[in-house]
Amino acid sequence: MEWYLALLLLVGLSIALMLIGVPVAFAFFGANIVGAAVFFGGEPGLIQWVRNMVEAVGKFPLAPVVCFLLMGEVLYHTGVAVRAIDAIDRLIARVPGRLCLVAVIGGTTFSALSGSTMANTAMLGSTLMPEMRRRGYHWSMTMGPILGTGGIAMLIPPSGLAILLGSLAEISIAGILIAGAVPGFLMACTHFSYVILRCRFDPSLAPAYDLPRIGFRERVRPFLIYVLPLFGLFLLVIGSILAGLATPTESASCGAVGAVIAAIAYRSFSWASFLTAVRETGRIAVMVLFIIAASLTFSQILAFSGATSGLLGLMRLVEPSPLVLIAGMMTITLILGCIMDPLSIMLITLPFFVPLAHFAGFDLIWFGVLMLFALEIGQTPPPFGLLLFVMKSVAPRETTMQQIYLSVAPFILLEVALLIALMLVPDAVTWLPALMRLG
Amino acid sequence: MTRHLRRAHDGLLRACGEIPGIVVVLIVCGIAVDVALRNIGVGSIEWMIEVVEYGPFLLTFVGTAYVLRLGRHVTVDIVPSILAPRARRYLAILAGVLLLAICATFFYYGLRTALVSHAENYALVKTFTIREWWLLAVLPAAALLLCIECVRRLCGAIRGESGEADRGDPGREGL
Repeated sequence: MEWYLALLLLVGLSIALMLIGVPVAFAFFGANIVGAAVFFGGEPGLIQWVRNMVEAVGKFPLAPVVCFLLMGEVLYHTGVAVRAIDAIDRLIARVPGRLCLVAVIGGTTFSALSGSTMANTAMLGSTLMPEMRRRGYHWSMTMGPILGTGGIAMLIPPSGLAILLGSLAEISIAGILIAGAVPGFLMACTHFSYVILRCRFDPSLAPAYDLPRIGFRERVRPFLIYVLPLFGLFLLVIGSILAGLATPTESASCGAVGAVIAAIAYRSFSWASFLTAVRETGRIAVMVLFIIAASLTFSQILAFSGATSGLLGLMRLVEPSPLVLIAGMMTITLILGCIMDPLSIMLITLPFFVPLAHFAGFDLIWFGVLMLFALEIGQTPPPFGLLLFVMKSVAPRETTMQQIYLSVAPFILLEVALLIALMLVPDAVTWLPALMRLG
Repeated sequence: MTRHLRRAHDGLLRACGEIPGIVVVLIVCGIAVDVALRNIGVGSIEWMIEVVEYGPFLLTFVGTAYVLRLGRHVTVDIVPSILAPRARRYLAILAGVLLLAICATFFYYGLRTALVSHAENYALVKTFTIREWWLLAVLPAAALLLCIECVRRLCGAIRGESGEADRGDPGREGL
């Protein structure tokens, strides 16, 4: 079968099943069954498909995904994260789109604590959205900033996906973790500026409201108590890697244990909240890993059918310049982001992208961070961006997918513009790891 | 009789729903203890990485039917959300039938694979030597629970129930 027909069959079938309402993981399963039967030779192929599923999720590098989820859930359910958001809320005075800015700053802070984009989005959505709605914020300004900021956790260390990308592409993990920080903060600044400008030009989007008058001391004190010490968790995860005490995979579990210790230190820990956090982590982990189990096998079948190499072979035929090459890679990543989860995209593209990056002489840390950036953007575009569904699950029932799509669109455009800027100015990514002699 | 069977199925699903959380805690504690022991000079636990590797596999498949019960598997609702109630119901039935077909295929080939592996006595040799079918046996069991849940969802869709509502768990809705 021609590669484009194989691509059409596998991708078309999975999308059709998703649109009918079959859960995403099972839609991939459906395409895998057909793909295994057609391309792997009937029953032996289907038996291999089952075996592949065991290998897909039976991996040590998947452990940090689970650990970072627990870290975020413990901070959320014990109330530590909410108190940190409250402290940030007090810091910000009367400015246009005040609660949106709280979402951006709080989300960026939580990114440095959890490493999970889903936990970040869920936490921001469930804590800030009810208050935003009560204050009469337009739906586009309640969901947009949260979705835009939720994904920053993928860039700002510690990031579970950065660790996975580093280990899969054989890029310095410490280097890629540190290098992600600057683009992450740049993205937060971009969102911050956009919210202020948009709400200044159209105040009806985020109506101003009276705040109780509080002094400077009362404003700053909660931040010093409830936010600043939490950066100890960030130092624990990153510091344990840089000091050689733990591998990047292991550092995630240190972070999860650190989150429990932080909750105890803040006297927020209770067995009930811990058990809720553990149960929630288990459920989210099942959902995420089940998609990974299905989509990894999907990637293997795509590769075996010749669809992947056919698609990427088109790029080699063109013999592009380095800038065109990196732009092409990012475009493919963004397009795949509309229909797949980040891990699957990494698994499909890296076997082709990494040799191409070596061939073109790219700085691998720069390339890795751009991939993470594109994967981060890819979590939010319609129709299947993962964070859109996280938002749907925490938003009020009457919220439609169309509203979610429209609210996130301006943030996607801003992020794409920033991605282009980082492609043109590699030093913005590489200076920090170079300064720390990582690479 | 049917009620007893339903209750037994609900109880089994709830029990399966607790296992992923327990596995997560064991993974975190296992790695943390290994790191601590290594850094205080006692040395690494040789088998820890291998045991942790099986954790994500186990929690994924043991918990998946329960997560389906909770309606927490990610679903795209673009098409259903723009349809009229009657058409949405037919689409839900179609999705239910397809989901059941996928799970039934998963069950059949999961069972076949486990039986083939058992017959050929495949072994996975790492720190421990374990029989491959011990792991593979989890898959048809998980798929069977999925099939039963699919049948119940399909019956619900035919009766016109929404199908996504929690039917047995008091936990937080959404993520």
